[in-house]
Amino acid sequence: MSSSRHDRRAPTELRPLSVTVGQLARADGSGRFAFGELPTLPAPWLAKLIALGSTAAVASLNGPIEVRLREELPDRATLEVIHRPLEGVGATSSRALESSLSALLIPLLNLSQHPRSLIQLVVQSLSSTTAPSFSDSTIDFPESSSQKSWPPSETVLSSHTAPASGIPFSSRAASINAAALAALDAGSVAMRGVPIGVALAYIPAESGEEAGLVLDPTPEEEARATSRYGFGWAFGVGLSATPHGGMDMDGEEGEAELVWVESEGQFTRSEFQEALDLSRSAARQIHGFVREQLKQRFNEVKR
Amino acid sequence: MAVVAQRHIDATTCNADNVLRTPRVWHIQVEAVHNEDLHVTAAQLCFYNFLSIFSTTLHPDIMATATLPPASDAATSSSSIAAASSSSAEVFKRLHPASYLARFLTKGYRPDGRKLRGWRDVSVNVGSISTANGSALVRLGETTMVCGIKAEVAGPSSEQPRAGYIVPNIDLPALSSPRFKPGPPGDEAQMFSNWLNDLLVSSDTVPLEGLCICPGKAVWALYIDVVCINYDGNAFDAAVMAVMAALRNRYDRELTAIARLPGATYNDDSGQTICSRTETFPLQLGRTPLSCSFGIFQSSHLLPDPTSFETPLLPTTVTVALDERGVAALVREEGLGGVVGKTGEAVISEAWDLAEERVKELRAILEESTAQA
Repeated sequence: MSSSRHDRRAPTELRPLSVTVGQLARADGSGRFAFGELPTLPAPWLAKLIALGSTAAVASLNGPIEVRLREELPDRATLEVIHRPLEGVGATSSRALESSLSALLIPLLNLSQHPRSLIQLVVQSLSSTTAPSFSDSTIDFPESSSQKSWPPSETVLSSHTAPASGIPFSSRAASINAAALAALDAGSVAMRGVPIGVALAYIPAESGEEAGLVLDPTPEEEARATSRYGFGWAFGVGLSATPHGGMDMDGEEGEAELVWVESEGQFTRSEFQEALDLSRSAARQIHGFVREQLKQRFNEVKR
Repeated sequence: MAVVAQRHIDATTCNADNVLRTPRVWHIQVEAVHNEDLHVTAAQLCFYNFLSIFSTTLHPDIMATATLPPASDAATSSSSIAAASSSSAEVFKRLHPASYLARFLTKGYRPDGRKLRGWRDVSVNVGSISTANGSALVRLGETTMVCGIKAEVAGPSSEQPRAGYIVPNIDLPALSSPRFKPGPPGDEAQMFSNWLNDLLVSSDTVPLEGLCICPGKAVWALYIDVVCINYDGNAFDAAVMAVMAALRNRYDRELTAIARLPGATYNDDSGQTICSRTETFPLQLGRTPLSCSFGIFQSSHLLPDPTSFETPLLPTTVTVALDERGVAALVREEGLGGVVGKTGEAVISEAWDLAEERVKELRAILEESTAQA
C-alpha cells in the first residue's frame, strides 16, 4: 500500500515517539510525551520540535499535598488538573480538556488512599493548541467578490470536511500520555491502570489519494479531515467489569479498557468501529514503548 | 416540623452532599441557623449523621423513630409520624445518595419514576423571544434552557475572508441551581460551551461561508446564547436541542419568525453595511445534530438522561450526537467505560442504539414545534 501522507508514513503508522520522565527537578513526578520527535534530540529541543511538526506535552504531578478547605473531600484526595496551552491563556477548550483528564484519571488513581489531601496535575502543551485554519473555498473562488449583499444569490455549498476548532486531537492524546507518565514517575498515588491516548482522522479523497483512516494525524491532516477521533485506553488488571468476555488478554500487557473517547465531524458506525479497533492496537504499541522506556530508566536508577 | 426544618437547612447549605458527609462542617451550618425549632431538628439531623457513620445501613424504621420529636401532645403524634417518615427518606437520600439510587435501580426504576432506560419528556417552544433573530425554549424534564440568537455585522479574518463567525455560549447562572456560584462562568459552563462550539463548528450546522455579506469586508457574526433557567441535569442535551430549535427554519411558507436575518448590502463607497428594516431571510443551515447523554452508575447501569441528583453519582459520561441522516456528529466518553458483563466498546454501541431511537423522537418533537410557530 503506497503512502499518501506528506511525511511518507503508512496510514496506520505512528510518528516516532519520545518519552522522558523526571525532567522537572522540583515536581514530585513529571513526564514528557511527544508524537513525532526523535528520542535523541539535543538540548534546544523546543526549536527543533516545531520544525519537526511534532505534538508534545509535559506534565507534572504533585501530591499528596495540603488541600484548600473548600475543596477538601472526606473520603478521597481532590484531583486538580490544570492545562496550559502553548500560546495564550487557557480558554474554554483547556477547561474541557481538564475535565476529560480528571474524569479519566479519577477511576485510575487510587485517590481514596489519601483522603483530605490534594493531588495536583499540571499539563503544559508544547505544540500549538489552536487548530490550523483550512478552507478549500478560498482557493475555489479567488476573485468572486461580485457578492455585495446577503443573502447570496446562489446557495453556498457546505464544505465536505469537518472544520476544526479547539485543541488538536493529537495534542489531547499527548496530554493524556504525559499525565500518565507524570503519575508513574511520582509513584505517590497507586494506579489501577495506565491511560494511553491516541488520535485518528478520516481523510477524504483528494487528487490521486484514496480516502481513508489515518493513525496519529498531524494538525494539518486533522484540519482537512471529515472526522476526527481520540481514544484513551487504560492498561491494567481488573479494570473491566467483564471477567474475560470481549477483553483481549495477552499475558504481560494485561487488559485494555476504554477510558476516553472524543470524536467529531461526520462518521458512520462502521467508520467509528474501524477507528476504535485501530486505536486499540496503536495504544498497545505506545504502551509497550512507554514500558520499555521506563524499564530502561529504572535500570539506570538502580545502577 | 422535621420537614420544614430540613427545607430551611437546605437553603443555608450550598453543597449538601459535602456538608452532610463531614460532621465538622455540619456543626458550623447548625450554628448558622438561629431559629429555636430549627436548632432542635438540626441537632437531630446531626445525630443521624452520627448514626450513619457507625452503622453501615440505616434502616428506615430506625430513622423514623429517631425523627420522632418528643411527643408532648398525643393528638398531633400521628401526623408527625407521617411527616417524619417522609423526611427520613429525604435524609437517607442526602446521607447515602449512592445507596439510595442503587435501591431504585435494583427495582428497575429511577428516583423520578422513570424506567431504567427511560427518557424525560421534552417540550419545545420556538420564537419566544421577539427581539432575537431566532430563539427557543426547551424543557427537558425539569431542566429549562432558553436559546437566543443575535446577528451582528463584523469584519472577517484575513485568513478566511468569506467565513462568518458563530459564538456559542452556555450560561449556567446561580439562579438555575444551588450547585452554581454567581460570578464568572464555572468549569462546567465553560466545558459545555466548548462542547457546543466543537459540535456546531465540526458538524457545519451553520456553514460559515453562508454568513458572508461581502468577501473580505463584511460578514455576519451569530451570537448563540443559551441560558439555563432551571437546572436538573443533562444541560448539554437541552442546550443542543434549544440551539437547533432556534436555528431551524421553515422553508415552505413566508413569514416564519425563526432564525431570520435582515437582508444586508455592503456599500463600497461608504464602507458601511446597510441592513433592511423590513426584509428578512432565513439562514442557510447544514446538518442538524441532536445529542443524547448517558451516565454510568457504579460500573453497573447505563442511565440515559441523568438528573441533577444522579449526575454527581455517575463518574462516567457518554454522549452521542446524530444528524438527520443518522450519521454521527459527536461521540464522547469520559471515565472508565465498561459495565458488568460488557466492555466499554459494547457500552458505546448500546448507547448508540438508544440514541438512534431517541434522536428520532426528538426530531419529531422539533418538527412539530417549528410547524406550530
